[in-house]
Amino acid sequence: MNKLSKILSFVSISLLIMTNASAQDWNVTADQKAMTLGVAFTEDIQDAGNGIYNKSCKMCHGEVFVAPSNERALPLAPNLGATDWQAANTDGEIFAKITNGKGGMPPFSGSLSEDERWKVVAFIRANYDAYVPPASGNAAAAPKVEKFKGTIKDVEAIYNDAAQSFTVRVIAVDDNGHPAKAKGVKVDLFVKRYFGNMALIEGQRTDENGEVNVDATGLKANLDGNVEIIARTNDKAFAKEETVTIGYPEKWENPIEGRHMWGTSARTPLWLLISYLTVTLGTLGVIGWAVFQLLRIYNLRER
Amino acid sequence: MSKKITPEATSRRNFLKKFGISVGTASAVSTLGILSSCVTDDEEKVPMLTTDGKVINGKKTELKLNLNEMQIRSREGLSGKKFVMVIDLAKCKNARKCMSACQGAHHLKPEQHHINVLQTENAEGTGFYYQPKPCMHCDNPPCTKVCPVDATFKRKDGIVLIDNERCIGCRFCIAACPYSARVFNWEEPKYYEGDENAVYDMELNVPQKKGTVSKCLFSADRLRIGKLPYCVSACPNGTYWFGDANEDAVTNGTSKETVRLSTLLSDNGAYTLLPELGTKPSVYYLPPKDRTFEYKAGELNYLGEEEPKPQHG
Amino acid sequence: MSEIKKQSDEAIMAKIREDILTPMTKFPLIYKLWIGMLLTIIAVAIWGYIIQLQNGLGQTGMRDYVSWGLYIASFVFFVATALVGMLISAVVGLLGQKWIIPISRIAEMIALAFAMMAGIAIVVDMGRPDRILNLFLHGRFQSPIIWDVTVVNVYVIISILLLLLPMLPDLGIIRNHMKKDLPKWQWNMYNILSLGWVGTPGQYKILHSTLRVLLILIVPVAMALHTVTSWLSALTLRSGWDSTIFGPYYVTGAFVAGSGAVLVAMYFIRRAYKLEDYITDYHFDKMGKLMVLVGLVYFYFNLNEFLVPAYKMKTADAHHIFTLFSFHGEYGVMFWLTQMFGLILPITFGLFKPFRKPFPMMIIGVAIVIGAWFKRVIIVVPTLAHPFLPVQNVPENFHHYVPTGLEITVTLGILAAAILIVSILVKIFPVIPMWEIAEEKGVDIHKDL
Repeated sequence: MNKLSKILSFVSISLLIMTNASAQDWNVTADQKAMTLGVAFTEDIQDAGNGIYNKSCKMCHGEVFVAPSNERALPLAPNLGATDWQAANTDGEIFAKITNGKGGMPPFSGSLSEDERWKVVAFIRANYDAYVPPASGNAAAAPKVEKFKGTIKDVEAIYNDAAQSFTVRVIAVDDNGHPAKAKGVKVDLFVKRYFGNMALIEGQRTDENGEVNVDATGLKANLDGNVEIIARTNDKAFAKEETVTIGYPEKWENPIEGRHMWGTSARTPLWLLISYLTVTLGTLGVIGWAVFQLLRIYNLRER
Repeated sequence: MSKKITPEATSRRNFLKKFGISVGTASAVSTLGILSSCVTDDEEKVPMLTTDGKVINGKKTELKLNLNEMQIRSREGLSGKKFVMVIDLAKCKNARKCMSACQGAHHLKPEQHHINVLQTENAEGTGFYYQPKPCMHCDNPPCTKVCPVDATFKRKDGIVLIDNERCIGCRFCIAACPYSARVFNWEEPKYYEGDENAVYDMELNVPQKKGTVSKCLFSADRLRIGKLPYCVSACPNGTYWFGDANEDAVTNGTSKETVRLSTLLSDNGAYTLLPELGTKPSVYYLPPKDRTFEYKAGELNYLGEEEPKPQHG
Repeated sequence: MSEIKKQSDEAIMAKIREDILTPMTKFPLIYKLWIGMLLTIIAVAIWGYIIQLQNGLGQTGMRDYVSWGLYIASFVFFVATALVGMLISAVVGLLGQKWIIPISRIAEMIALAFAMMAGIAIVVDMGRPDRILNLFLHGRFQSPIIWDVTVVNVYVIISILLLLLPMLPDLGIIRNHMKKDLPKWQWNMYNILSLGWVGTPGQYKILHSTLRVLLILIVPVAMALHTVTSWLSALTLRSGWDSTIFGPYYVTGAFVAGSGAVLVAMYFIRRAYKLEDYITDYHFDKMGKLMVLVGLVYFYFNLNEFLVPAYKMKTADAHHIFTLFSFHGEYGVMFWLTQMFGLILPITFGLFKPFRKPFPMMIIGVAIVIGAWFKRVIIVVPTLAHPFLPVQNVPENFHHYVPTGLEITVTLGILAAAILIVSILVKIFPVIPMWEIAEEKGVDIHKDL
């Protein structure tokens, strides 16, 4: 059985690879190749690009992480953090590829603006150490955000009842071992859901107090009034799972408990049940009476 | 209290590995899943959801219930849940992995569609798009209203199921469904290896039975163990979102991203099919706006072969 | 005076007995051939049904979209025809019309046979007839099918009573006079069925009061029977069925179909049994007028049913209307032929006295019955063939409904069975209520005739 499944998966994967690989080449012109990053290479822009990436690209390309080369086999789209890929592509080339697409990769010229596409390029470049941002033109180098110097110890999330919000706090110490406020650390906050974890924030930087305020208005709790959350630093080094009570238990009304026309027989609407039984039994009663009359006729024989 | 959880990068890679296979084998994988469940080690522990909504780890042998227990369990459904599907029409490229995965899982013939990707347009000249059409699992279902024997019914988690062991084959539900979501086993169904001895599972509707009705079940067997439906998981284009309306969350079958249902619906101007009929569907559609691909006129026929021109209306 | 009266009473009764009971003892070749032909059709149909049972409903032309076809259309047709029992006996009878006396029993026999076969048609259409008991074990009160099963059975029971009860005096006559002409078992059957009828005033009193109650009861039951049948369609959301007038539309349509069936039966029974003295041209004339009356009412409902959506042309309705009204539509030709020959022409001809003679009336009756049957196909099939959402990704035969030979054979078999039941009933029971005819002729019937 296993053998069969392997053979089958091999055959189908090969088929998919063949169809994908046989697609035409990227047609990137020299002019396009020569283009340089059209936005500033700042953390802000990169973060904005990250947001766009999560929405439009992550579905196929997944997480971008630094690796010497792409490990993913077709039909999955490559990891854009692969160093060899980063080195082989100019900014203009990446931009052109996003714009025009190829085969399974759709063209984004319609759905993303030029500015947005450049922001995605900026995000893709963010973790590539060898990257040198263009120094001239509209892409003037901006001062890098100061990174937190101390040691991060933990991360936690607190629910504020009144504001209906979470505070994600990074707990850290400075070089001397004293508690410190970790500013500029990227953190995530997830709520556990039945089929996966739902991000309330992803990659948001802590403020000068080492905190991020996350609005949770209207967040639905489970039947006990709780939600299970995961707070973590964006680099996944620290994480904490907690169960937080965020409100009164959500009242769940069993939809099949009422008497509905669409319900089961045991849930027949009463008026219908009574009408049906009254009419049917009434009719049968009259019929029974008529049969009884036949009996009376029989009893009157030979008078 | 604080505990370090598995970095997501690893789990995502694991997921991608699995995903790679599931995409690759599309139609085969679900079948194999069923078959392999017959031969896998009985000691293997799997997550199971009890009827009162708790997830427990139980031995696989415990899954082998008798028909009666299965029937009772399947008719009850999962407490506190209200399953919904959101179909993003902007994403559907007519890959039809959903259809083949579904037909494989439910042992259907090529012409039997629990989910059918239609090519349609809203009004003349407004442009065609691909529209996957599963059962709407209506909250005011016209089909369960008319069933004479309680064979089709709505569960407390919103799913409309069919009991193959009770259906008398009158096909009133087929006539009543305005979405043409139901199919009938006109002849001896397509049996797979192992079907002869399989205990009938109402949540999978396998084995199919001659002379009874079948339809989309939202993969109720998968939902019980916390997994996304077969079609949702098989989609390579991120078309499907699936989740629990009571949690206000839906998860994308392709990217596994989870978002707020209410936000997704209101941001995109979601709608339901034939709302004027008052059926209150559990399946929402997001308009086919900003499509990143071109609609290709022409149609794959029911065997998956190319057909020259679509027949509309 | 009373001596003479007594003698003439006796003479009248002897003549009636002679005229009406003699055919019951004779089995001419044509009758045997007729029964043989019906039995052959039924046998072939049973063979076809066995094939359908073995291989599934895929043997028919029905598929996932048009999932109801000939069988359900026939079911509706049988129910419709069965309704005539109520029309003739109850409505016209309760209105005090004496002319229905000689044909009321024929109408009751048709009603009983067709109501029984309507039940069979439903069973034949079931995918799992082996699970028919589920209807009683798991019956769901919200389902129109349960209502229909209930009301069909009730209607059959009342029809049996309405056939038997007014026949008691006649059965008494047979018991008294036919002992030597009949096989022993048959005479015993009449003896038992006559329930010891001796024609005392007490027995007549009970007979009349019970009959009156049953005649009143059958009016709402018959209305319910066909209204519930119409609800099998009208309670869905489907375009072409989603109509508020479907109940009366079906009931009036049933009156037309039933009138046609009675006209045909009257003609052939009259000829076969030489009953020209009892079923006269006058009766055909009256029946023809009744047919025109119910036909006009049905025409009025047709006008509403089709013109109202055709005026508004809602998306799905427009499609439905096009397939029916246009000769380019899939059912255009069938629709217009049905409306012309099944309704408009019969009404038109029926207006003129020369056509209200036995033979033209029989021809018109045949046209009405065939038209009524096709009309049921037009009610059932086109709506299913055009769902709200496009029909795609299915084989070609899912798009159109063409009944298979097997399906037609089985349908004809059910029809043959209905006709067979009528043929047997008119052979073993007196087709004309002798005591009522005698009473009409002034015979004192309050005695053991």
